[in-house]
Amino acid sequence: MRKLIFYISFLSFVFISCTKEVNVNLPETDSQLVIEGWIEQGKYPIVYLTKSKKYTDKIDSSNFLNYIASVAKVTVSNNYNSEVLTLKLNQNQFPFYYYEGTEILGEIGDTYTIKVELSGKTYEGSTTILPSVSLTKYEFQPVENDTTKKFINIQFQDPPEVKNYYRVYIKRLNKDHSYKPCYLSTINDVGFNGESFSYQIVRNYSSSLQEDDTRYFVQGDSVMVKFCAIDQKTHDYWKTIDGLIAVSANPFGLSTNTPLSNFTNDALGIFYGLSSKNYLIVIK
Amino acid sequence: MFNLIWSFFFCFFIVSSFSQDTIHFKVVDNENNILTKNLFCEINGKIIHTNKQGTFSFTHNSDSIFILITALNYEDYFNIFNSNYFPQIIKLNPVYKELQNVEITASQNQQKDLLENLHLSKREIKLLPTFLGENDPVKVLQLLPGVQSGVDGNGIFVRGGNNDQNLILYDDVPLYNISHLFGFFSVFNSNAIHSIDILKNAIPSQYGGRVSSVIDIKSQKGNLRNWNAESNLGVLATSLHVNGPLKKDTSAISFSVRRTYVDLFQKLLSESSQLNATNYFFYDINFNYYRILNKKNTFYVSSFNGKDKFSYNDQWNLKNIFENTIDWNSKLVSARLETNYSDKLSQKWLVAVNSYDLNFGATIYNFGLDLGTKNNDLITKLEYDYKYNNRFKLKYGLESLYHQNSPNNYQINGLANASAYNKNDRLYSLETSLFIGAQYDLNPKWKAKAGFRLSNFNQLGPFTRTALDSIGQTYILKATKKGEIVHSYFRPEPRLAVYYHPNEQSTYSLSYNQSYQYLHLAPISSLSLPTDIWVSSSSVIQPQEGRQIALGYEYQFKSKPFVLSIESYYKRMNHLIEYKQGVMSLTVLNNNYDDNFYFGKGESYGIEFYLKKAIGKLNGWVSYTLSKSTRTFADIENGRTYYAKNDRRHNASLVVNYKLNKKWTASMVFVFQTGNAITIPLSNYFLEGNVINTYSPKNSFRLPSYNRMDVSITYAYKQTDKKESSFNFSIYNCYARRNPFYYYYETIGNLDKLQFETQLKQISLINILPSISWKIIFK
Repeated sequence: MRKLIFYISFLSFVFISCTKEVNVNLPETDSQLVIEGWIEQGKYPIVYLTKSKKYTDKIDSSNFLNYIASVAKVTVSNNYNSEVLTLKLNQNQFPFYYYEGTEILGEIGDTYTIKVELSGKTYEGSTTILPSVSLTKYEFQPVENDTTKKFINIQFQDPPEVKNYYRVYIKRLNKDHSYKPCYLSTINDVGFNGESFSYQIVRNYSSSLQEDDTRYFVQGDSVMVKFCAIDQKTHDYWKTIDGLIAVSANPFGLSTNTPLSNFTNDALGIFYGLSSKNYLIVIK
Repeated sequence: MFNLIWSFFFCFFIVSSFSQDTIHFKVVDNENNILTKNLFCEINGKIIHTNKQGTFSFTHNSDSIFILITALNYEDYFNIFNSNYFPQIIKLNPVYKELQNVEITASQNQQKDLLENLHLSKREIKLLPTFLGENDPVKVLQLLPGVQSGVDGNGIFVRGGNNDQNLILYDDVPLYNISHLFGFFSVFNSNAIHSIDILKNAIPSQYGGRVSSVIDIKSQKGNLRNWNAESNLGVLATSLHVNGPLKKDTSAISFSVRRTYVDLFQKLLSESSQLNATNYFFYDINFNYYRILNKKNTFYVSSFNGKDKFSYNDQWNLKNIFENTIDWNSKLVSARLETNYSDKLSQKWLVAVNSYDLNFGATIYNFGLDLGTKNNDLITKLEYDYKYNNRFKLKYGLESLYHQNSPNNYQINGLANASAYNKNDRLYSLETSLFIGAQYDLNPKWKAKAGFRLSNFNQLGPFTRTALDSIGQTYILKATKKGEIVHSYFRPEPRLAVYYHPNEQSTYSLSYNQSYQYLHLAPISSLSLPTDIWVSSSSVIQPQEGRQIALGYEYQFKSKPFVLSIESYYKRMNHLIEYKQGVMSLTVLNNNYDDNFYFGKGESYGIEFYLKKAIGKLNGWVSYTLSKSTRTFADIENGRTYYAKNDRRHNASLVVNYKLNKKWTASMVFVFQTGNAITIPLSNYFLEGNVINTYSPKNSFRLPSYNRMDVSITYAYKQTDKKESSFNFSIYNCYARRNPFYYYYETIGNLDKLQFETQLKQISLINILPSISWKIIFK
């Protein structure tokens, strides 16, 4: 009887909420070009070109090419050279096609411009590669009291006299296809300029489109940590993106911020330079 | 002295006799024996009106006569008489002297009240359908013209203003959070409340600190003669109210307590039960004491304590990775001395403290985030009423509020270098105001009310303002010592209202109101949840400013207890506040508490219609508001004007009570509102394997309209001189309308496998919610 009373009270108490899919008449929006391009110190530039989709559009094997820009002319230049990137295939993940250079390598201190020409429109952007910063230390922190589950704490010495921005990527060997930014991946040295700083690496869900397991690492994982120096525009852009992902679908912290693209002509996305230090950490 | 005005009253009368007899009686004020005229009364289903001599006359055919009179500023009068002993004079006990003075100064015409304030008596509140077995006074307020709720009842938005712009006074002391159950329910126990007034036009100068409205709640005072008790047993909570004399005719107390009991039953379940994951309780306690010290002085003490505690943990599924707690607590204690120096001069001196604190804790694995906000006030107010003659009255005084505000404190645990993220701002300020208000009745047709309030706000030290140099190094821009002034504001607040009565039935009014607000509620979420945070003004956060002009007309139907009011208003608001990120930014370190806001302005206008039948077997009201409310922030949408989130073009409500017979009473509420303005995703794209949305212009999309009908029926199965007992059965949202609470999107499929779509989902919070409650009264 006591349980019955409890259940009745509880149902009343938590209300009888329900969820349903709604079909709303969204205003028509034009598809926009999305440019995700970067140039890393010592490496060739890589550029992904996709197109935004209307909210209600479904993607399947019959139409996915409509959301990939595979016939663009992508040109990257520095102060001395210019080259048109080549279209290449990556079977592992969407969008399957990307553009890569073969001549211009990223160098610290250089500024690079990108020009994308597609369907009669031209989109331009630029970035600079800043000097990299090394990690001074790393250590493991167990999750709760379970010693098989770990977070990685990294430490670095922030250079004085300049403003610094960082981004941290990770890749678990034999588990991940590529480097992924970690959860809340950007760091800004406001508050610790010139000082030593510790940062905890928390795994991001590997994609918001896939089911994922955990935010921590497990004993035996071999983790490549890529610690990158970036410029302010890049930091601000990815910080906004991190924020959008972190609070997506959460009405209690709904964020509708727009990340500030560094492209002309209303293209979405960013072209950014980075210099990195890479570390292999085996979780013990 | 016949210009005592009663604005809301109803009485009914049950006669059961076989012979016919005519009875005459008069109604007077118990303190000064002033005869009250121009009243309606309902007797045995018939509505009667006082004759020219101020006398009620009625014919009955019953042995016993049941009479009830409810009037503004008077205690309810309720009695059963034998027809042979029906009194010739009925005396009503005034509740508050100060209000009485206001009433005496008013015009003889009763319909002026709707244009000055909207009043809800305890009886009106209790007649309406319950929500989970509880009569919620705020839910009734939201049915009045110009007053809107947020989605599913949370929040109060008056004439296009924001939720923080209402000065909510409990026995003259401001409350910062009136939410129970995440705002779907208010902290006001209807047993402990005597009346509620909402003022939204030419707010009298003794009130200040908010720019949209004043919601003035008076608690139930103790009865000086008799002890009585009342208990309500509902689905959600149970409450007990006791009041009576400590010393007959000298001092009395009133005590109410209410508590939910879901958590108590929950303790009986095993720890692994999924139902144990969520735990919630709230309680509220009201205490009121007063003592008549002598002929001149009366001393009052009033206190309130309300607390909510929510917790969630997923230990039931043995994962034990997520825990969340949210709790908030509002408290106040006030002492008030009222002194009548003479018939012309009276004084009210109030000293009070209040506190409000909110804590939010979340733990995922071993990361912990604790957020907290706290407000403490020390309040003193000295107020004088001076009556030069029946046509000219003054009210003047001084008010001072010392605020301690901790707006946005957080602590992170378990993260490397976590202490760098911790923040603990304590802000101190003093808000002092001088006020004077005058009322002048030029002649029976014209009346004017003018008020002026001069408010001064000082942000006080200790306070350290920091800044960043070109390389991001934090340095101290200015440090202010304890007690020193950091920043000051002086603001003049004029208020003016003119009333014109061309005849007995009609009143026209024109009013202007200007007010300032030094504390601001910064909305963190898109919903009006109690998790929003109060911040005080500074050199960066300027005081909110509200200016309103309103034009009103009211018509009292001849020989019929109907009153109609039509009001239009235009309001402008400046220095409104919004969080920059829409969420708290934990990645901005060592910043000043006031660095995280955007500032903008608002505009609203509308017209309100209100038709009320206060008495009769069938009574209730219809209200309709046509309005528009917009916001313009230089840093949001590039300065483009957009709809306020609670902009609702149409807002209508219908409230009906019908007394079927002595035993059965039915009531119904119907609400229709245009949907809220929200921002929704229009398209999406992919970056680093994540879905990123692009959004519509801010608040450019409308949720479907909100509509709902609640019904209730009350069965009074026992009614005697000593005891009353009744059951109430209510159904909230009786036709199960799925009103949207919020929208969110869901991604389905795997893009790498070329199967992907996004869906927009709607959460509806309350479908259909029946409830039952049992009430028992001992007299």
